[in-house]
Amino acid sequence: MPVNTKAIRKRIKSVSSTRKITKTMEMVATSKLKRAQDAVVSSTPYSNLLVSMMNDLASRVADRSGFPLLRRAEKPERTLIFIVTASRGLCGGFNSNLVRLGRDTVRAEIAAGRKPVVHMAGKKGIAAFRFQEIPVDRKVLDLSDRPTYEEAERLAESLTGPFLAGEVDRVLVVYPDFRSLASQPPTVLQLCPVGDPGAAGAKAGEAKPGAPAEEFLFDPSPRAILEKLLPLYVRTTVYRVLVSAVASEQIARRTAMKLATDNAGEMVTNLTRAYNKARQAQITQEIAEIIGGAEALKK
Amino acid sequence: MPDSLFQIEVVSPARPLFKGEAGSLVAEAYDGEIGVLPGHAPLVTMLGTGVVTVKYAGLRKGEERFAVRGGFLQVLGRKVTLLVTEARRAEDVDAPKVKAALDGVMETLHHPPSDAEYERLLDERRWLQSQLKIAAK
Repeated sequence: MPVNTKAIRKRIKSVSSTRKITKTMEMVATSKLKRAQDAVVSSTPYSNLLVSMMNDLASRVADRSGFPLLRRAEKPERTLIFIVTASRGLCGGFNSNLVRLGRDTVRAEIAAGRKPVVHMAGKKGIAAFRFQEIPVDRKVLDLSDRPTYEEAERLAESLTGPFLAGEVDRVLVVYPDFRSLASQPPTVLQLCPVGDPGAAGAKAGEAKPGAPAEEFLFDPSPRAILEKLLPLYVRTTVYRVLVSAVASEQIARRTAMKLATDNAGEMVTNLTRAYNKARQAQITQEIAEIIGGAEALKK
Repeated sequence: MPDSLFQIEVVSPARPLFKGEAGSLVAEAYDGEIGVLPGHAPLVTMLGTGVVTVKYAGLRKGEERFAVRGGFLQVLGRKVTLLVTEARRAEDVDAPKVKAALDGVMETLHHPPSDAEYERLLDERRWLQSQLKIAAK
């Protein structure tokens, strides 16, 4: 017997059970994605409006002193980098892309002579950084699949705390930015100081090019309003980061699992073909042997 | 859009609550009620805890009411934006539950533990009362 039919049968069985698992994971990711995507989409109008209102205000407040969140260090020395990754794998290049951008950001800070303080969320990223021997100063492992505002607030406090205390001069966030179902590029966002050029605030400013030069009435003063608005802005931004990360992870996982399912399906087809061929060859050979035996008896 | 209407948008962090054209708006600002009509000067103010009423005009009759706690109001041109921190629509209010919570707050208010707590309870009371107000209609 040239090919072992039993071995092929065993492989078909194992591949199709793998396929069952990946198929299930794909479906789970799809349903989780639906929810995560809704969270991103329904929070978008609020955060967009908040950002544009904040930019309007910030441009009207000339004196920036007295706003701890706007404090700009003369010579920044330490940078807090918060990197969001997933705690689970099997999602294609999702984690490795984030880890790569995170690592590059950390190295860029070191190259610029600043000391990075790394906060990392997600087991996968923590493991990757341990392997690459980049120190992680704080591990965040209590992020849920369904981010809430309370959670965002807690996280925002832990990120802005060191900034407000003057321990770090900048806070950067590395996360997958959910733009659409097709695009969630890993992105670096500057959380503090708020409203720097190139930060999230500036981006929304561009979205409103015809920003009116009208004079607003402020009640109470722009200062007092901005004071209330800034923490809200930080919290909303962190919330966006969290929901964005959850949604992007599910997209990545769905895509990866769909590929795996398709591959497994193809493999099953090919193996079945090989199995049938081997079986047929075996039958043919047996018949040939029987005929040969019968011929030999006749003589 | 006719002159008697303007665009109103009410959004909370969790979801947009209202978007449409209306004839007037009454909101609870941090220091009292504020009414906004089309043609209002550009304004930014903070919201307090209370009821926000959006009144339709022209072809559409009636009004929409929301219970709102905290946030910001911006009037710009013919567009009014309310960024609310916490909000409920009438259909979201679980009246018996809110009523029970309100009774609890009223009870504690008789013997407030501290000044700060007293302020917080007053706000909680306003918040619960506004929910009942919009639900009653």
